Amino acid sequence: MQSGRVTRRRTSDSNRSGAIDSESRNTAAELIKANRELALQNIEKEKRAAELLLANLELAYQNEEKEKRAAELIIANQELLYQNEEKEKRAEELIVANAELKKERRQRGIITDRLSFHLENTPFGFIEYNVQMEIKSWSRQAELIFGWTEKDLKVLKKSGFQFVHADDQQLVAKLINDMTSGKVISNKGQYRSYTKSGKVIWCESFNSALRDDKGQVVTIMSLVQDVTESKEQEEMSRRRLELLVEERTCELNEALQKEKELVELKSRFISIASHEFRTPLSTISFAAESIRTYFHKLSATQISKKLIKIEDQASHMVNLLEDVLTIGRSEAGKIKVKRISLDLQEFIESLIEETRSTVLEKREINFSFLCNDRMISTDDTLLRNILNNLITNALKFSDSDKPVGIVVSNTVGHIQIVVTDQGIGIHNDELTEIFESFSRGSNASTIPGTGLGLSILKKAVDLMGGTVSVVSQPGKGSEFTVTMPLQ
Amino acid sequence: MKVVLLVEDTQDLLEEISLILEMEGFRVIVANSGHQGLERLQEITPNIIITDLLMPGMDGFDLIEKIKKDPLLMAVPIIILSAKTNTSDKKRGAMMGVSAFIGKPCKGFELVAAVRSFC
Repeated sequence: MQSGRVTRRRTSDSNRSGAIDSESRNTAAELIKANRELALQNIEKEKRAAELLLANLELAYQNEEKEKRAAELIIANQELLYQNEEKEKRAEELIVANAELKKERRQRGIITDRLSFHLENTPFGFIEYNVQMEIKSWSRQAELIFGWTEKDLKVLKKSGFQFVHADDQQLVAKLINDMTSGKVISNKGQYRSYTKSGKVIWCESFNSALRDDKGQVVTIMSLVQDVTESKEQEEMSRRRLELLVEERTCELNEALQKEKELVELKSRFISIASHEFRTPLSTISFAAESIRTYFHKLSATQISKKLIKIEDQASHMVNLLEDVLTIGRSEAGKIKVKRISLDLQEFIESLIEETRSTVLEKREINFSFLCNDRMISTDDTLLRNILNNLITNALKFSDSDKPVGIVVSNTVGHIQIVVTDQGIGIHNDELTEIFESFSRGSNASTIPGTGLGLSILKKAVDLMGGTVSVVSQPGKGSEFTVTMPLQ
Repeated sequence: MKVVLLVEDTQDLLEEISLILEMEGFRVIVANSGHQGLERLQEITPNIIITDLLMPGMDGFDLIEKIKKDPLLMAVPIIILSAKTNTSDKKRGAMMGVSAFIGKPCKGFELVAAVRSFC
């Protein structure tokens, strides 16, 4: 603008001088032209300045963009650097993982080798099946157990041969089904199998089913052991045990039977004992009541007889009680044999005298002592029981005019006592019963007695380890023989 | 005078019971066994029979069975006087139509009262 005003001023100055001078006019024209040129140049310059301004602005913008781009590039560069670092790290990790993997593979290889070694050297046969139960692996031990090689198995499979004994096929099918159905992952069982030689062996197998991620069975493994020997031993033990149980059961039954018999015997004994006590008690009770009630109606003799009867029955009851207690003690095992050394001849002679003194009538007792040695070792109480019963019975069951004989002799290690009478005798069918408690001969009912004497005698002889026997004829007499060991 | 048949194998007891019954005004016929009792019954029909159970040969129950089968004797009351006092014997006696079962030992007056109540 300033240059414009300068140009206009110069133009007015030239016009005033043109009138004066053409040169000056030319100069002025030239000046005008130059001015115009200058003006154009100024316009151009201005345009150029504007363009430069724009270009400058454009450049500034481009610079800004470049700066932005440079910043972005820096960031991208940094990102790349970071990514590179990550990649390097990852690469390092991969190297480590790879090394681990290699190590693991190596380890697995070692474990597999070890397992293989152990499997081949255990008594177990290793058999691996696929899901169709086709054999995939068959170890050396399996060959040893069954006798078949893997080649044999292929042939056998084609022929449809069944290894498992017919009686156990159902059991084995269940074992397999339980695993393939997923009911169990492992199980075990015992069954019989055929070997190549045709022998039947007992096998015990431990089975397991391996499944994939979807739960499908991949393989089934069986570890099979030949347990025939232990099974046979087990069977023998079982038989032995069965025999033992059978024996024990028999023994128990026998013991039970004996116990029952004993209970019955005791019950019978109590019943009979009660009866035997009730009868003399009745006599005592009736006699005493008669004396009291009919005292004035009865004669002195009648009363005396009744009193004697009461006394007799009371002493009968005392004897009965003694006998019952003796039997009770012997049955309870409370009577022990206590041997002492005694003069047998003297012992029997004194016993005969004792017995004689209790009998009203004079009785003939013939005693013969035929032993070499008078001294013997014996239980004096038991011997007294035996002899007392023998002599008393012989006197009691024979008429007072009939003699009683006692013969004592000895054989090797034994002493024999034979007592004979000529009394009422015993019926043949009653001979076995007379040694039982309360047993009395049918022809002896009128003769007082408890029915326990011979029972006590038998128990005493048993305790001494001896025997007693009797020979008798009704109406003619009896002969009792007692044999006892000297020691 | 009422007649009593007394069947008892223990002589002492037989004598004592007889005496009491006689003292109480009964005529007593005695027997030592079932067989002897039957023999006596052939001769006389008593007003009442007292019998023991355990006797040699024919026991009390055998005797009662025979009496109950005899039309002439079946109505005669029977008293069992026994040392066997278990329930099964008492039941058996009742089933056979016995009038009373008295266990030994008993009082004389009890026996007499029973005899009087049945004849």
